[in-house]
Amino acid sequence: MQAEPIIHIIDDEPDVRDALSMLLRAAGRAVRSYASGEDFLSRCAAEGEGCLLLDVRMPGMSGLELLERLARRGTLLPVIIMTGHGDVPMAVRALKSGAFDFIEKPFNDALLLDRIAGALAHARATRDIESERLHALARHALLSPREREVFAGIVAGRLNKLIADELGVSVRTVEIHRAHILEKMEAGSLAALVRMGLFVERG
Amino acid sequence: MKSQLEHAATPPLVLAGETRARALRIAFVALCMWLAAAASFQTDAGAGFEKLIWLPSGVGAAALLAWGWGMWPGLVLGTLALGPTHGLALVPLAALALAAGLEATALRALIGRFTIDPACLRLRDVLALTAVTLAAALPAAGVEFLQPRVDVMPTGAAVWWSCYIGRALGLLLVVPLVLGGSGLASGRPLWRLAECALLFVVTLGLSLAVFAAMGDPDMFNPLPYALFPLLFWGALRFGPREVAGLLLVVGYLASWGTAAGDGPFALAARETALGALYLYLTIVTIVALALAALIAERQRAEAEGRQHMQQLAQVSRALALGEMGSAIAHELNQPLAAIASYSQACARLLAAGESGEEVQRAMTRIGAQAERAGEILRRLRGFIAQRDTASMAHDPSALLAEAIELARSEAAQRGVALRLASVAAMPVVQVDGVQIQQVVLNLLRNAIEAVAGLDDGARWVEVTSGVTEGGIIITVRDGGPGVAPAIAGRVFEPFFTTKAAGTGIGLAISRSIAEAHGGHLRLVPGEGGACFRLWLPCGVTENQAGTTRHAG
Repeated sequence: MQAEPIIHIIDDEPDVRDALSMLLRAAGRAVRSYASGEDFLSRCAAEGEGCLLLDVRMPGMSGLELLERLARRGTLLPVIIMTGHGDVPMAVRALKSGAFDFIEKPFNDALLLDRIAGALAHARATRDIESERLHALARHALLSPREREVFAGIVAGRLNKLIADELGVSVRTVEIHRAHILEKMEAGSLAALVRMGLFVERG
Repeated sequence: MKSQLEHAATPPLVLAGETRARALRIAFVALCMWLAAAASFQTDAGAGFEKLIWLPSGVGAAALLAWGWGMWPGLVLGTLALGPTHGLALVPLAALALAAGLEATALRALIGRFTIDPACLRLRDVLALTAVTLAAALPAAGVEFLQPRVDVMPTGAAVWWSCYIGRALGLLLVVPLVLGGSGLASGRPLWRLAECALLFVVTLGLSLAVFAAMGDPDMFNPLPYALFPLLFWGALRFGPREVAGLLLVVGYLASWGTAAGDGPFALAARETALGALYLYLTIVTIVALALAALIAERQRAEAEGRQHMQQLAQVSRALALGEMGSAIAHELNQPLAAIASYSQACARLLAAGESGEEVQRAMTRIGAQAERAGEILRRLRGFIAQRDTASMAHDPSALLAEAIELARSEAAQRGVALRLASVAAMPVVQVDGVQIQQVVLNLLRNAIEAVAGLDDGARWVEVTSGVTEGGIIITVRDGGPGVAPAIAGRVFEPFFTTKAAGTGIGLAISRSIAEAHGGHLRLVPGEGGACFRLWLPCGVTENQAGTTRHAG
């Protein structure tokens, strides 16, 4: 993954777009701007690190619609909604639809950059967890069916003996499986294994 | 004493000025009284009769009505002046002076009592004025008739009639002439004055020809009817004042000719002739004044209707802006947001030691954005400003573009696409620009509202403009479900609405505006979304004629 996060600006107003990207570039951010939600969806297929600055009021696809589309796609980019001054109901709706934060136009640059930094930090954290999750799933796929059964038992917190009784095998066999599982899952400890189990359970 | 005088220097001067003005007025009234009397003496039918028409009655009454009770001395002085000039004895002179005062006082009191407007702009005023005139002339005619006559003792009803009707006619003709509403309001073109003058000349000539011609006393003479069209002309084209003037010409010349033994009323049986003359003059006077009042009444109603329409249009514009408030705020917010971001970017660039191109570009953009915000405000102010509506030459494309700009923020807010499909060149139209924009904006907002909650593909509004024979067409179409056939006939009705928070006046006002411009606004039937079509004529002169005719 590339080092520099990209701020995506989506606003139908060319002047606002231009002003914002100039401001963010002056603040040392990498910026891409789009005239509409459709524009963003078609041009931004590959997601890198970054966040979205999204105007709620746009002709065609509204900001809220885009939010919902992104949520359905399972995007990890956090979205900062830009609303008109005093448009609290709209901001609340946006937050309920999964926006990370909102900011009122016209905005203070320090506040805006603060929000962006917050969003990026959040994105990074999310992304770390996500990579952990993908790792767990990938490793879990390597286990044999029997090992998966034992894995489920370990993660559920059952003792080896109980697992052995349930599966109709000896405790010794369970112990061997357990050693294999720890090795295959690349888990350094039981705690790490349990954490991976949580990801596997959620799918 | 001296200082007091100096202190009070101004008030006595003003007082002196007022007194002088009042004295001048009294002298003027006296002169008019005398002139009217001298003219009336020319209608003296001789032995056994009185003056057939007595104009000083009207002059005195008009003076009291216009300038107040203080004009009383003018009435008496003007009458007493007849003594030396016309050789009247003391008793008839005193009787005349008393009668003049009585009559004017009675008329003024009655007019005040029954709140009659001597401008005669309503039928009620004309009828009431006729009635109070007949009442006010009664005591004065009694005094004049019953005075101890030294020359000839009264010989019968003819003297009484000439005393009474002569005075009543004098009142009824002169009061509206002095105080009546004029159809020649200020600012009228010169040719209206010329038309009025021509009307008077023709009336004067025809009256002379009819009433001063030697007639055959035994033949029925239909010529007096020839004056009717002239009086109708006056009533139709001018006001009660001009009609009263024409009537005065006719009445005076008829009395004068009859007294001299000429014209259609110079019958051998003089009492019958007098009756015929008075019947003719009374009927003509009442009918012509009533007609003038009716027409004035109608014109006023039309003007009020126009004014109400304009006020309603103004109110509904304010209402529309109120409803568009949040969209407008959003629109104003855009340039402000851009300005804020540009200037913050500049601050950062300068702080980082960068300068030159990028900063310069940002500064230029800031200026442009501030202008844009100003432009939004100017447009709103222009749309809402209370002012006299004026028809001016407008480019329809420019009007259309402004109206669309006004609607754009609301369209954006509701996620509606606004499209303009226009022909290249449109002819100039003679319209009230703000009102036409109001019509277009109303159609646009209705359309935006109709499609706002719909699916992506239906959320569009399209404006088309084009040229047709003799006019321009502006069509507003939307992607909504259209107007249900059941209510299609009612959408232009006032207070008919399908919206939860609608007033139902938008389309009604829009249609009134279109019709006031000589055009029309229609719902075009068809498949798909609603389609409204505004047609405006572009022929300048025809349009103006149409405006005045249909404006009511």
